[in-house]
Amino acid sequence: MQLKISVLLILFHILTAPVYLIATSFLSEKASVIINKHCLACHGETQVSGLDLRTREAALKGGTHGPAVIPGDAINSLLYQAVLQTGKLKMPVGGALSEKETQILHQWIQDGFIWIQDSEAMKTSSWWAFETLQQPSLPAVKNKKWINTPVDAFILQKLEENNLQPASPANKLTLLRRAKFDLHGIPPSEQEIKDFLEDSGPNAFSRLIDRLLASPRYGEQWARHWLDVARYADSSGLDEDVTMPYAWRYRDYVIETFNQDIPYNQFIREQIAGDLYSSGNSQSPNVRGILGTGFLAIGPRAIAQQDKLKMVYDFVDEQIDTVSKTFMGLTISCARCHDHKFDPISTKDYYSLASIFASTRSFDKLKNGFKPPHVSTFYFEPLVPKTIFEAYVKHQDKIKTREAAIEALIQNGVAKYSSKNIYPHLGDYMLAAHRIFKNQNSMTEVLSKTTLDQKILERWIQYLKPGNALRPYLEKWYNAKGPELIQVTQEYQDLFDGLAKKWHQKILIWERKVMKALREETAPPRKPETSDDLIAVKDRFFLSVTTAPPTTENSKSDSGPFGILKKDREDYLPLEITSTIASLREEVKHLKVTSPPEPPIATAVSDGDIVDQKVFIRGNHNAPGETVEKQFPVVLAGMNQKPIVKGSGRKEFAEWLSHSSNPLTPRVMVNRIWQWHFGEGLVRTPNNFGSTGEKPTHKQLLDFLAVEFTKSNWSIKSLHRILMLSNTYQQSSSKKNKTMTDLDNQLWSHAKRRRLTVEEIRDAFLALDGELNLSMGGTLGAELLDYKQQGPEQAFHPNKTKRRTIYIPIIRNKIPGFMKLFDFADSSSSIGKRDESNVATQALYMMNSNNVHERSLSLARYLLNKEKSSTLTRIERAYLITLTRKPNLEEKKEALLYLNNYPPSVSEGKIDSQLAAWQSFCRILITSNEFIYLN
Amino acid sequence: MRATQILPISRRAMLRQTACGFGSLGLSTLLAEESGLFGKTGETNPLQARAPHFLPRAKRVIFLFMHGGPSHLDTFDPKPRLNKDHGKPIPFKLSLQFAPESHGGLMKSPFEFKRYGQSGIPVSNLFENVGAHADDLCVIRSVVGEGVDHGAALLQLNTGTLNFNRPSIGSWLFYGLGSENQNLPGYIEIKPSFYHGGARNWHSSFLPGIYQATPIGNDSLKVDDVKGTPIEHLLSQGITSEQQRYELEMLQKMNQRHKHLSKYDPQLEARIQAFELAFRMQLEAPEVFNVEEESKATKQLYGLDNKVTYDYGWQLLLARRLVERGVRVIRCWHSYKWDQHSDLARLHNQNAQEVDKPIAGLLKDLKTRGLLDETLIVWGGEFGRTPFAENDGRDHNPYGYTMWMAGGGVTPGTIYGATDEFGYHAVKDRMHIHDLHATILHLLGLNHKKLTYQYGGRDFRLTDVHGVVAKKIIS
Repeated sequence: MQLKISVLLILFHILTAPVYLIATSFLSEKASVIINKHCLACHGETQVSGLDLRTREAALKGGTHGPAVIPGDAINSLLYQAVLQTGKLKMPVGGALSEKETQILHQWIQDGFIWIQDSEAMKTSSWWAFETLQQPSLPAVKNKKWINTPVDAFILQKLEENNLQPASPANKLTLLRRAKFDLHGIPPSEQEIKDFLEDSGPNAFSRLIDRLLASPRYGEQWARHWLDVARYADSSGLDEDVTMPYAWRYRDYVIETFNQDIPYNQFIREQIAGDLYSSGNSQSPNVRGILGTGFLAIGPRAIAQQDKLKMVYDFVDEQIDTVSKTFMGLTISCARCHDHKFDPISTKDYYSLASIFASTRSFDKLKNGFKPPHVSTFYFEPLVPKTIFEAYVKHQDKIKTREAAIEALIQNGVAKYSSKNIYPHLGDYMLAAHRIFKNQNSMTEVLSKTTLDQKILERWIQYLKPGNALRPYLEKWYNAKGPELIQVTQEYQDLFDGLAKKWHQKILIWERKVMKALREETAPPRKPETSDDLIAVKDRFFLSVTTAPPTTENSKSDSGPFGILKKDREDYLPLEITSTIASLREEVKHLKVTSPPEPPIATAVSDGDIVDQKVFIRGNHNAPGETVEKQFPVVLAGMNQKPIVKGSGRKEFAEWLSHSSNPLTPRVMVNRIWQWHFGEGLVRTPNNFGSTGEKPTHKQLLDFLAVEFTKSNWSIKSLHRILMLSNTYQQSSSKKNKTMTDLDNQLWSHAKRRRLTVEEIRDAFLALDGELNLSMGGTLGAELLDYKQQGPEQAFHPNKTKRRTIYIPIIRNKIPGFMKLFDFADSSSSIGKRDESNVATQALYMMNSNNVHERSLSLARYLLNKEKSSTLTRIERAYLITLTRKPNLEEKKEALLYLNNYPPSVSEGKIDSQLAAWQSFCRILITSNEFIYLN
Repeated sequence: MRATQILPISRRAMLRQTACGFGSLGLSTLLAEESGLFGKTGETNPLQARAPHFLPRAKRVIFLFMHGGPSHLDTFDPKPRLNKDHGKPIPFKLSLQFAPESHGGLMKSPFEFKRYGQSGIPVSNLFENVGAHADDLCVIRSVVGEGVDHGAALLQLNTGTLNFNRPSIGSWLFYGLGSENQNLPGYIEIKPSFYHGGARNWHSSFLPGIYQATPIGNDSLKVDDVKGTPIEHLLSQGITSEQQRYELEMLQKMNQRHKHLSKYDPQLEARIQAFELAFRMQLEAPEVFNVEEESKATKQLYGLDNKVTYDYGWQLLLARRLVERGVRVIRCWHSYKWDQHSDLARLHNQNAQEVDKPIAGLLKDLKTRGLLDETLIVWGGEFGRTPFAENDGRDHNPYGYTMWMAGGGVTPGTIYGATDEFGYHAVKDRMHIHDLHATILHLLGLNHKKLTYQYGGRDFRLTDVHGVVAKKIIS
């Protein structure tokens, strides 16, 4: 172990790696894997023949045979000669490298023998993010009166160091708009503007923050931040994109978490292992805990993969990736196939965690050594006591069994009728059809000689007429010449009868089983499918002849002449069967009425079979290597951990993660909260605190806040107050320092102007005239989606609802266009920071979309409806509602002129010209830069 | 609702007319293209056409995507051995299959093959019209993928990976080459599917969002539902163009004033420019989508006069109009039709009838107009199908199947690679999806090893650490 770790260390990238290395990093990566695998056992720490291949420098120095490598000259490099095995020295001892590996080494040496990093090993415990947390004291500053909260001391210190001054404070209404959008995601209402302006006391802003934090709108806005990180969605994404019908309960749980200011360490424990903590009452499950584990269950997964073991480990990988980015700011899943290239995480560390998640159950029906159904399903957990859930399931089974009985009776009845009255005439129909389409006999003439049904005969003609469809199973019949035809037709009749009998037999067996289930009140047996064992071309004849005609225009299904539409089937049943069916239908109706309500269910995980995990060599699950213990990354938890021997280890993992002594957990979360207020984090790569991430701009401040966070019982609301009450937060967004020294605002010399998020844009549009529906929680699935457990969802339009955007279902592969357009976090992996793009298609949306059109019309009506007020008053009000400020004189004049000179519409009568002008004016206000960018 | 208010004035006239009004289009276009104010400041316009790594053979690419997996054994890769051994038990070891429990014996093709042209490339009677262009085709009979199910196979074909979130090949091409037309999207998907990975198959993932595809309709819509509003929000809503210009002038005036008050902030200027570009797109795009204006003969060539071929024919004719105007990447989906686990004879026939004539029409039209040389056509599905039966169809087969290319620098009238005598595995000149990607990039002048993007701390590329350019197919 010791050796292994030290070997790893040499491969770590360091921040100071020169830029030119990146261009060859692919080659260097590949080469380092080869060296690691084949050479270091002897030429690492042990330095056989004095050769050390752990650094470039050591390799160039070489061993007793001289320098191992001459950069740029592979042929004359000892290392390359040795691996070619053509000379005296043959390496590696265990056997020759593959041709490809040899080629890589050749290229690597030719290209200059560049190492991913070639300086000293990174001393892991001294990496800034791994340092033990200690609260620094406040730094001394000159301009003491600018200090409002401790935040300001740290910020000002750096500004002063750089001879910069903070920007002037933002004006009161700008501050109100900023705080309101930050905490609620919608603009302040007229009443809020009035209240805040009237509060002229010294702590008006503090009181505003208290009001905002107490409102449930706060939880909705901040849950959305978390849901980005938790890659929340309502469908499985990737291949099948099946709906997860209960995922929304996790979303509501997150909203509740923020609104109730649940301590963050508890929030972590629930999301990793909530199901393993007791509710305190043995009768009822730990509802919050189970809901929390939705965090592990809602990730994207490829459920149609046929290698089910791979499917499970792909999902384990997804869980490790999300957990490590979310809570630790580390990219641990990089170590699935090889030791992490840049951070001190080994594959052993990775598989130690994999052991925990592989022992956790996320899929349903995957027992018996991962035997597949083609498309796998998810694990669900009821949120009620077991007895209640089982009673519900039993009741549903009663309904299903009766419905199956009805279907079985119908199918058997139809089969009976058909085999007696229809099927025996198959040959007659074929011959009659032949006479008509081939020999050109007339329909009347043919019918006059038989008792055949004209409608069915017409369908036979359509079916058999060549050119309509390609039917290889009819080849023999088509090829039959003259007198042969009758005999061949008889063969088809026999074939058909045989298949019909075979199928009828299956129906009969099924019916018997269903009736047994009905008597014994058990779940119904599986319905036979024609595809079950009707294989080979000859069976297609029976299937296709009995296929009912398609009911929709676009269907590709066949249309058989003997097919009976579902709605007509019961016409063929004898009276005693229809009356049995009727009474079964009555029972179903009654059972549905008396059914207990569906108990709440969660998309969750639970402990599964405990896995004895092995390292998978190069990530290949078919190449198991050494066994690993269930434990935590060595660089953080140390070499002498006590391995977990009981259960999955999730609970232990949750405890370790959420412990205040974990150096990463509080730092990572405090940084996120900072970023969600200030637009950028103190570490600007919120999901990556490793060596390829950025270093903190204000490490002392980050540490100060992290310790403060743990001391305040991990209260997120307390942290909001510390940040928002700072003068740093309350600065104006206009830069005071014209020299542009702080171009990227690394020192927070001004507030960052930011574009509204897509949720804020949509919710704000609806909130302006009070149309935003503020009811909370629940699923809009039934309203917006065609809810099915399996199968893809149809696209839907988010504007069918006026609920807040957070409640719109997220179907991963069908995220509504408008949400993608405005940089919605796409939920395919943990998103620490959204993009903020600015493209023409967004402008088209603002100019021409139905939504903007409707919202501006609605706002115009709202403004015009208000009793008798002057146009000027209305203009003032429009500015106030949309931009949280009054217009100046010039703006008022301009607006007046605009409204008065609005060009006439071509088609009269749609809306009156006053309304049209106001709609246009409102559209300008809500699509303006001033509206879309928050100061 | 359509651009009726715009149509009476020609685009050129409109540009003149608005030259002093909203945006002073001519000047602002120049400014935008020179100073590159579309993304962050300091960088050049990210959509601008860029020089490739080396001299390209093709400037643009059209993918003809047969979603579901057309059978190579019934189209471009005849196997006499299957005729001989029809119905016999499978004589070889099975690789991972999607539906192993319903396999029957070996299955011959229900279709007949014929050799076409001077090259004598055999094509089945499913593709008689395409067959007539055999001398233009480079049939690759040795494509190899790893996805056994549709989702994985589509993702690999489009993004190189089976189950991660990576940019699509179209986005990589757009990122690498930019667009030749700043008034139209550079990458367009026509009637894509939301199934089997959905937007993952054409999105930009970690590449900047501007490189994602602009979808036109989707596979559940008919062309007639799509052609009215092909690109979302392209047409104004119930207001006249005069009203819109009046409104936009006021909007931009307010935005300019706000910008000056806010001191220097590049994102504010960028948004002003985005509105200008949007206005130009609004002028140009409706004309492009007006497929109706094509001559009767051209429409017939693509099969627009026939109900069966109308839908795909419209897609392909639109594709030609788009390549003419410099759109970089276009894909026409025939979705999701080709997945015949059963009833293969009837349904493959039905599918082929919908696409055969339009594809032949596209090849002919591009050639006549001299566009085929610089336009790469790629035909194929996410995998082929097995030589053995599943019911009376065939199971998925990613281990060796056929795609073909035409135009854009590929050697015409050739067959590249081969499958074994049953058509199960590629055995000669294997063309893994990574190699296919490398080759397509190469034809467009890009070195797949150099087209990288740094994300999450490392360089990514379409082909990961794989990919070999199939030099043999390049003319």
